[in-house]
Amino acid sequence: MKQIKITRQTKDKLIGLFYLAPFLIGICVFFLFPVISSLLLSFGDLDPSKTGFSILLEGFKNYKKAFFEDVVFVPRLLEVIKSTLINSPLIVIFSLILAVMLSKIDKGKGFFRVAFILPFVLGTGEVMSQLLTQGVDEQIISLANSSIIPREWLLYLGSSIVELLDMLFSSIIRLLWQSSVQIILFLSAILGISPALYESAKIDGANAYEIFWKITLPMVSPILLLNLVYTIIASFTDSSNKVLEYISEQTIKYGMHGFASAMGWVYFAFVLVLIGLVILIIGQYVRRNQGYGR
Amino acid sequence: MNNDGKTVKEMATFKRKRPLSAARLRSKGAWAAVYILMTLVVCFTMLPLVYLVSTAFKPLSELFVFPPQFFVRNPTLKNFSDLLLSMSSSAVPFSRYVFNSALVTAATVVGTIFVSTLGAYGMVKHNPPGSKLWFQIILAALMISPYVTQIPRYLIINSVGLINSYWALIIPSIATAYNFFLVKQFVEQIPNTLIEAARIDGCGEMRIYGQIIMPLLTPAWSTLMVFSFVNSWNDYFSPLIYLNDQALKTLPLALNTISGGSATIGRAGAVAAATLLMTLPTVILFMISQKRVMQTMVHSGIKG
Repeated sequence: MKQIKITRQTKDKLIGLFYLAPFLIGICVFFLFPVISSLLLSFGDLDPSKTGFSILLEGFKNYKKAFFEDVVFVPRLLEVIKSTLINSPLIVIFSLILAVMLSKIDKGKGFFRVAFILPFVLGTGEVMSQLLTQGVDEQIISLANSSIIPREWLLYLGSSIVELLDMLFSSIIRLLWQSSVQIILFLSAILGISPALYESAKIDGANAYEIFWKITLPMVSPILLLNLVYTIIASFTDSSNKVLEYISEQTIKYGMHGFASAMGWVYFAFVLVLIGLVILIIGQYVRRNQGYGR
Repeated sequence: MNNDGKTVKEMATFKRKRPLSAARLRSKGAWAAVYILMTLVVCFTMLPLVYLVSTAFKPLSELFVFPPQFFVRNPTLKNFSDLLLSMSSSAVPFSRYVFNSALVTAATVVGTIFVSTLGAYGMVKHNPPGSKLWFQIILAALMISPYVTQIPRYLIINSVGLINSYWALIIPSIATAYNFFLVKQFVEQIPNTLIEAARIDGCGEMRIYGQIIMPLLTPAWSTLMVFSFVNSWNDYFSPLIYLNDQALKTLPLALNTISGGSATIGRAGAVAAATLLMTLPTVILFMISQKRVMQTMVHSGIKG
């Protein structure tokens, strides 16, 4: 009897592995192998005397160059990390608020949902980035600023306040353009919460504020983690990112593959540490809420 | 919360109509505030689209005005006819680029949905050996920028002999870590009892996947469909490095050909028109699928 049970479990696991296999093969071929070769590459460079892919190992030369000789890399790295740390929580909070509002409205919800995903549909395209390089985003931002609040109204507030408002507006627009995916994910999570939970909370006398903190937020916490990770990664892997720009410039223009790989790995180490911290901290909150209301 | 009869009656009617949405915002002032705030936000998000549409209809004289004008004054269709003209004069017809883009995108979307849902279901509900380690690797794949692995990836595709074929665009983007991560989050919310019940009722493994898991994952894979469609449709970089043959190139590259590099000012209008035409499918796809994307998991679970 016992033996049958074991074989059944083993069979179950093997089926799981079979299901997972296509994805794993893809990850191994197009991620694991390239990553290992790029790690090797960061400790050397492509062997110029041979054709094809053979690596000449040179120790920590590339890393030393990135930290001590190159004057561009470290300041850019710090800048990208700083802006990510400031923007990511803002984007996630912003999109959660908007998703909660979207989940409550009824009339015209289709229109609003489409309107919120549009920046994502447009923004990832090469097309849009072509427009962006022509400075269209700045034009739009400046147009938006002056058309929503006329300059004349602002003048008596003093120039520093005007500048602050300008900054606020342009950063709101930028953040909004980056938060469409997060809004959609939050929205589908919020709509997935069982209405029975809300009803019972209401019968117990909870107000809207309590319902948000005690039901909505814990129930969407797995998506909160997903969104935070996604936002951080999107900010780190964005193609307009200064560090990546520098790395790809080194590869494509100057053919310094080893040096570029080393910088890529330093960069990746920072991303890893940051994501690790986020998963550790928010993951605890998610785990505490697991099984909640199930 | 007051307990007078009206509130209870209200709640009862709300329950019948739409249990989730209305009952929470009771006062009309709050409703109005929400709508005003949302409309403001929408004004901001719609700006790029409005700009795109209005630019596509601008005559040449308005395209290069400084400071740039947001709205078109004298709308014209000349940009579209310019686009057709420059297309018919090139060796490869425009429809060929559309076909290439559509084929590559469709194959990628179908492939990634199948592989990601099957894999995530296998990992979460069957718990195969080493799944923790595999998940760590997938997480790492999420974080590593594609720039780091660009060169080795090119060499692999080259050595397999996929350069200059559709496969070079399709296969590498099927096993995308983010897609897996997204689906896995949703699979974890499916109760095990549902699968066990199906198994007790004599449901086969493939049928559990096809008739229980996939319908329950509808919001997940609909979202995935939109994401991977957008990424694949707009991808500029991979066709640029993997394809040499003009007849195989996809729309983003074709767009670049029309604009003739950055120097050709005369075709800026045609580029704006082509840009508008290219973004239409993604906008339409999202409009069609948004209902399914938003469809709730728990509801479909209860309805069975």
